[in-house]
This record gives sequence, C-alpha cells and structure tokens, in this order.
Amino acid sequence: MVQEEIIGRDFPKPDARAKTSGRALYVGDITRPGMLYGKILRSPHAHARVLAVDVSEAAAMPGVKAVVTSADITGQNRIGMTGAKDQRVLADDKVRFYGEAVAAVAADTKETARAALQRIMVTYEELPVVESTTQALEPGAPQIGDKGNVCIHRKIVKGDWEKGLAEADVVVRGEYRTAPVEHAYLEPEAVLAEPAENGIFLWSSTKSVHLDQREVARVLGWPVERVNAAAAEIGGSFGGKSDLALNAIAALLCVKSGMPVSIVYEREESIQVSTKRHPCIIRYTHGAKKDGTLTAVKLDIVADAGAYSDYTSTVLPRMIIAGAGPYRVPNVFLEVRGVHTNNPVSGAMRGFGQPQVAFACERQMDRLAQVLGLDAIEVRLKNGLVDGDTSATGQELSGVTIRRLLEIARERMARDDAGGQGTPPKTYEKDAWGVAAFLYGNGRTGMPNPGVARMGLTGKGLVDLCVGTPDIGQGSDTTYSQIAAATIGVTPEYVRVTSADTRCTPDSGTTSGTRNTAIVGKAVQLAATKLRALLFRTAADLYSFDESRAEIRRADGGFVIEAPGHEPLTFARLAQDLGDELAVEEIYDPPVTPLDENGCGNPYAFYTYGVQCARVRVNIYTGKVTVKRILAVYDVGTVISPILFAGQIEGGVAMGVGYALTEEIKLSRGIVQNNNFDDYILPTSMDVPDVEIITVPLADQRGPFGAKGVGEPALVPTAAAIANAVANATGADVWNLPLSLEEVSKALDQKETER
Amino acid sequence: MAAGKYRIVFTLNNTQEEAMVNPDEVLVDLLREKFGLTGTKKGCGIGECGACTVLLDGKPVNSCLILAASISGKSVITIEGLKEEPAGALREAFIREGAVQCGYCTPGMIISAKALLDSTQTPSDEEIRKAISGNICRCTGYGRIVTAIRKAASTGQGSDKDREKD
Repeated sequence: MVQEEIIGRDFPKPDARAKTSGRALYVGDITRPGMLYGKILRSPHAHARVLAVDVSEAAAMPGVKAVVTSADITGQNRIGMTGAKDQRVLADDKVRFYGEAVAAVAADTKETARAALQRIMVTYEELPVVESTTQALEPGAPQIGDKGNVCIHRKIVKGDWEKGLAEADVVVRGEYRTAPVEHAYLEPEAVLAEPAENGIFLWSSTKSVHLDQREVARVLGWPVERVNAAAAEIGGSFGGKSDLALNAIAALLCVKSGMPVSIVYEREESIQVSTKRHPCIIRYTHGAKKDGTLTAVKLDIVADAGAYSDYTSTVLPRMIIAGAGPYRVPNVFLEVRGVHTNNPVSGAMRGFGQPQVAFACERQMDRLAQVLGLDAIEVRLKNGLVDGDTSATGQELSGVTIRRLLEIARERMARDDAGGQGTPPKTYEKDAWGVAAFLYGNGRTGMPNPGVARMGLTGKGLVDLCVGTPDIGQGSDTTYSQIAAATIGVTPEYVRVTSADTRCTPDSGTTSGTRNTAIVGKAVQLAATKLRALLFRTAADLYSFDESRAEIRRADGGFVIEAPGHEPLTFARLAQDLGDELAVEEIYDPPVTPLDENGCGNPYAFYTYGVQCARVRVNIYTGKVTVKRILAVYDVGTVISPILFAGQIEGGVAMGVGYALTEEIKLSRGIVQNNNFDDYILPTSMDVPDVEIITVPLADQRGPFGAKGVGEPALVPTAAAIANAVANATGADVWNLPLSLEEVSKALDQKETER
Repeated sequence: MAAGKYRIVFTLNNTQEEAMVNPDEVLVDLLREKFGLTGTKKGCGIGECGACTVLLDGKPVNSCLILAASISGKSVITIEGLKEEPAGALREAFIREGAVQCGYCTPGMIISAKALLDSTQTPSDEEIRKAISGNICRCTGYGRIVTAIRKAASTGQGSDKDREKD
C-alpha cells in the first residue's frame, strides 16, 4: 500500500461500533461474581486534624466485608502524579480539602456500604480554612503543604526586562483572573479491583495504567509485578482521570476482603474531589515601540495549586514558557508561583496552563494594538516568531508558521465579512471578531518522556502493535494503526492495536501533554520500520530469495511478501514460521533539555502553532455573549487522520466556549457549590458555533510522517479569542474568565463609569 | 426482602418482563443492574446530561428521573433494543462521520436522534440541535453528531422511497 492511501485518509475507529450499539464496556459496566461495592467516607471539613477514626461499628455490620483507614496501608500512604508524592490515599494526620478520603467500606450492596459509612466515627479538630492564594501568602497563614504554602516557584529570565521597559514607547499593564474549571468527562471515575494470581488486577478509567500500577504497588508495599492494570473503554479524560487515591482505595479493599471491589463515583463526588484547571491571578506588563515592536514582557502568575501538588510542578512551567506568546521578545521576566490552599487539588487539564496564559497574553496584545492605534493582526504579525528566532527559553526555533497562519486568518475573516454575517444585529447587540495566537510544545516539559511501541505478527498474520498509552476516545489507536500500516505497507485494518494493559503493553507514558501522535506515534513508526526490515531479512534467509527485490503487496485474504522466482509468502505463514523472531520494540524520546534556574533550555522538540478567530454577538443589556463562528487556522504538520483531527479541534473549541463563557467551579470554604451539571454549565448543542478549520500542509521535520499533536492546542486560544471579540464588540475591557452575564455586565458598567 | 417492593410488568426491548423494585429505584439502575443493559449510561443522576436516555412509550426520557415503579404497562427501548430503522442508519452515520469519541454520550444521543427522526423525516440542523440539546457531549463539539443525524435522515428517507418503489 502506498503511504498516500493511508496517511491523511479516514479509517473507522475500531471502538465506534460497540459504542453505538451499547456493547462497549466502561469500568462501571463490568461486574464480577461476588463483587463488592466500595464507598468512601469523605471529610466534611476542608482543613482539620484527624484525631481518631473508629470503624468498629461499621466493620461489624452484616454485609460489610472490609473497612480500611490509613492504618491498613502496608506501603506508603503518599501518592502523586509527579515526583512530589504528598497526597494521602486515606487521611492520616490531617485533611486538607473538603471531601478528602478518610476511610472506605466494601459491602455486598451499595446500600449497606453507604449505611456503613455513617457508622464510622471520626474525630476532627477543625483548622482555619485557607480559601485563596492571597490568604495563603499572608504572613502567619496556616501552612497547608508539607513544605509550606509555596509549592513551586519558577522563572524564565532573558535579557533585561527593566531596560526593555525603559526603551518602550508604551507600556500596557493588566491583571487577569481565571476561574477553576472541571474536566467534566461524561463518564465519572470508576475502578474495579479484583484478586489475581499472585496479586491484584485493576480495571481503570485512566490516562496511564502504568502509573496506576506503580502507585498502587507503592501504596500496598508490593513489588510492581503483583499489580496489573488495564483500561476499559474510557469515557473522556481531558488531562484528568487518574484518580490514584481511588485506585489505591479499591486495591486496599480488594486485598483486605479478598473479593472483587467496584467503586463508581456519583457526579457530585467526582466534581468535589477530582482535580481542576488551576485558577490564576496573572499580572502582565508589556512594553513596545510606537510601531508595535515588543521590547519587554514581565509576567507574574500566582496559581492556586489546591491542597496537594498533583501536576502543579509540570503545569506551571508551561505557563511561563508560553508567557511571551508566539512572539519574539528580547527581554522577558516570566515568573510563576504555585500556592497551596484548602481548595480542590489543581491538576492537568487540556492545555496544561496555557489557556489561562493565552487569555491574558492575547488580551495584552489587543490592548497594546489599541493603545498604538494598530490593527490586532498587524501587531501580532510584527512580533510573530520566525525561523531562527529564539524563544523565551532561548531555544532556537525552526518550522515556525505563526505569521503565515495570522495572514491566512486575516484573509479568511475579510472573506467572511464580505460574505455577510447572517441575521444583522439588533440595536442592542454588537458583533465583532477577536483573534488569538499561540504555540504549543508537544510532550512533557523538558523531561524525558519516551514513547514505546512493541510490534510483531499475530498468529493470523496481522501486525500486532502494543502501546501503553490508552486511547481515551480521541482515536489514538486508529492513528497508530495508520502510522504502522503506512510504514510497513499494509492497510490499517491489518494492524491490531492493543493499548493500556500492563500485562502486555510497554509503558509509553501517559495520554496527556499532546504527546500521543508525535511522540508515541514516532515510536510506532520506528518499530514498524524495524519490523518491516526484519520481515524481509528473516523471510529472505528462511526461504532463500533476494531481499532487495522483495515487496509487500495485497493478495487475496491479506498481505504477502513477494520476491521474484518465489511463491508469495502470506503474513499468516510468516507468522507461523517466524513468529517469535519477529518481535521488535522501539523507543522514541524527544530531544529536550530541562530548564535551568533562569528558565533556559529546550523544553520541547515539537511545536504546534495556531490562530483562532471568534465572531461573537453581545447583548449589551444582558451581557449575553453568543459565539457565532470560529475560524481555526492550524499548523499541526501532516494530518494523519482528518476526521480525528477535526474532532479534536471542534471538541476543543466547544470546551473553550465553556471556559470563556459559563464554566466556573464556585467555592466557599473549599466546598464546591455547583457540583452537578444543573449549576455547572457545560456547552450544549445550542451553544457551540460553526467551526471552520484551515491547515497549512507543512510536514514537521521530526514527527511521524511529519505529524504533530493537536489535542490541547485545539482548546488553548478559544477563550482568548472570544474574550478579545467581546472586548472589541463592547469597547469594554474584560479581565476575568468566565465572561458570564454578570462579568460582561460589570465590564460594561465599568466602561460607562470611566466615560 | 420483598416487603415494600413493587411488582412491575413492562415491555423491555419488545419483550415482556417483570421485576420487583424498590419504591425509590430509578429506571436507569433497574436497566443496568437487574437486566444488565449497561448501554444506558449514568452521567449525572439528575437529568442534566442525557447519557441515560431511553425511549419510554416511544418518547425519549432521562431514565435516571423515572421511578422504576411507575413503568408498569409501558414500553422501554434501550440502545441494545434499538433495531428499527433508522437505528442502523444512525449507527453507521455516527461511525462514518466521526460522531463517536469517548462514546459515553453516544447511546443517549442515538436514542434522542431516533426519537427525532421518528417524528420528523428531514429535520433542519436547528431541529437536530434542539433534539439533542439535552444530551451533553464533552468530546466532539456536536458538529459531527449533527451531521451524522442529518445524513442518517437522508439515508433513511432514501430507503423509504426505495421501498415505495418496490
């Protein structure tokens, strides 16, 4: 098969059929004989000392098979997504957020498990609740973290920002705030832990079964091999969906009871205890010459990490790496602090901190343009990075397309305007475009994050591909099958992909950080190249033909190796004769370097570039914003799977519309006030605009077939573009996300007052 | 313990069934736990997300809001029992158009779409958007779902015409 017939073409997602028939099994759909139901007792305080936990009454109830507290933890009661293992599986000394797990019960019915929770007696000593980062940074504030309230402080310094500001003709300052938001994957967290030979097995809804395996083994104090985990169908992740505490609790209950234990969260429980997008206070100072040339950017971000570290140490560096935007700035001072509070734990969420920064940065660029009397695109074009420029971290960039994307965006907006905009606005409505540009590094920031792929042939002669990264619904298994097929010379339906099962797949890292296509996909390509070569070589040895003149072609019922003067060899026969010899494994670790103390380094090997333009209509009486249209102009290198690519952009835009306009986790004393979808407002089919996608066909130098990632880049600029459009439509400055009715009305009132 | 339980007799995916249910038991739990029909998903439990949508006497309802005790004499169709066209056309269109990502909303979406197409053969995009406005999808941004439903409607119509010709 030729590459062109596979790369850039659409193939059906192998999971889609079962998902449309209702046969697809998610963790909460799986049952086992004798399965117990687990329920978790959660803290009614956001901050308290745990003085005593008495489970004796609960444990004695008929039907209760196991009760666990921190005293049952045989390994370490410390878990975490990164190196900072500070989160408790079950509270020991203190509880640090509302809803933190204190004890758990497994019983033969849900009702019994629920009733047993009420018989557990916990004695708390309430402590003052730290509700904001401002409060946490005050002298004498209660200390939440094990090492104080500032859990991370990073900066990027390049040039001399003070000198840069002194050279500026204009200086624009702004303070922006963004709300915590919820991933709101439609499937709530779930786990099923069952006894297995010499250990336990977990069915997990996760972005990394290997992380689940390691962390659960550490909690149990077992060798890693005694814990295995596989992903069932995963009902969305978006950076979340690795509730390590949940998995560990199910494992503890399973070990103690000796029975399979299922725990499925209710939505309210999920929203209260799952991680959130970091809420931020972002202070920017931009300096520029009269012609718009940036001379300096100073950035100071304070991000609420919540009660534990989780992903904060990897989310926050990304915020400042993107702090200067996709622009060349000679002098930068970009700083971020992550601060513990008694709010829900902040973690990774699609965009890894960049949607917050893009909102503030792109508002600054628009305000700068306004002050200078320049066009918003013009000021971005003036400063847009080009090949050979160095980024804020001093990385020399190549394949930079931001100026080209901006020019396309300008031309497409003009074409839209010329074509008319549907129903004209009423007298109380204002329409406008808003623009936002960004760059997004693929993969984890400045640290090794190898993609690993294992490949061979199945007994029936299919290509057998194993990767650790779960397909969370976005279709990575399909993309991998295309990359493998195009490399080997077969069609994707002849590639069987097994993902996310510690019993047979290698650890390819997490499904996060926009790393699947470019990084894991590259490992798949390398493994496929190796397998193809090995197939030819071993077959030529065994059957004595000229390897250099052999080729792979389609035949009846599959693929064959054909060589002159030799019968075609079917893959099925090759699998029978050579099976074991045909196992290959390849690793691709992108060439990155860690950032030094001044934030200097090459944090990513791939950058996705993009521009989004939002056309909005604002009702100036009510403050209601309607997004009419989004233009999404992207450089993702080669698009492997067009429908999957478009699905990422369209889904990212929808999530961005929610982030811009309605989504906000409301907190009071650390308690989520809107813990279900009646008050936490997600975009519906009535709220999401038409999205037009434009890509530039520029293959990346490194990516598999020139591909780069799009999962997170899809969302990064949406809220920023909408905010700029709202400001343009109303003439009012907007400072805070979400732009709710109240927020827009407030901005309009402010504008009136200033006039 | 049967005390306090209600006996219900109803039609489930065109087969008569009976069950003993608790007074506070909701239909989604009955379907998932007693009948093993796990294609009906639970996303919020308060009738906001639509993942648990089933047809009750032909109308789409959130099965998390329906008391199991109230369905005696009624007909319930779940995703597993959705056989009558345009169900097949909808499934094919959802797969082909990329309307399925994580898939957790998909059964409910298809049920809502089926109910729409039962009442309107050639819905406008606006009508399709309204019909699925009670079904949250966090993955796709809805555009591909709308396209899939529109295309399934036109396929279904084509096959009706073909049948007329025959």
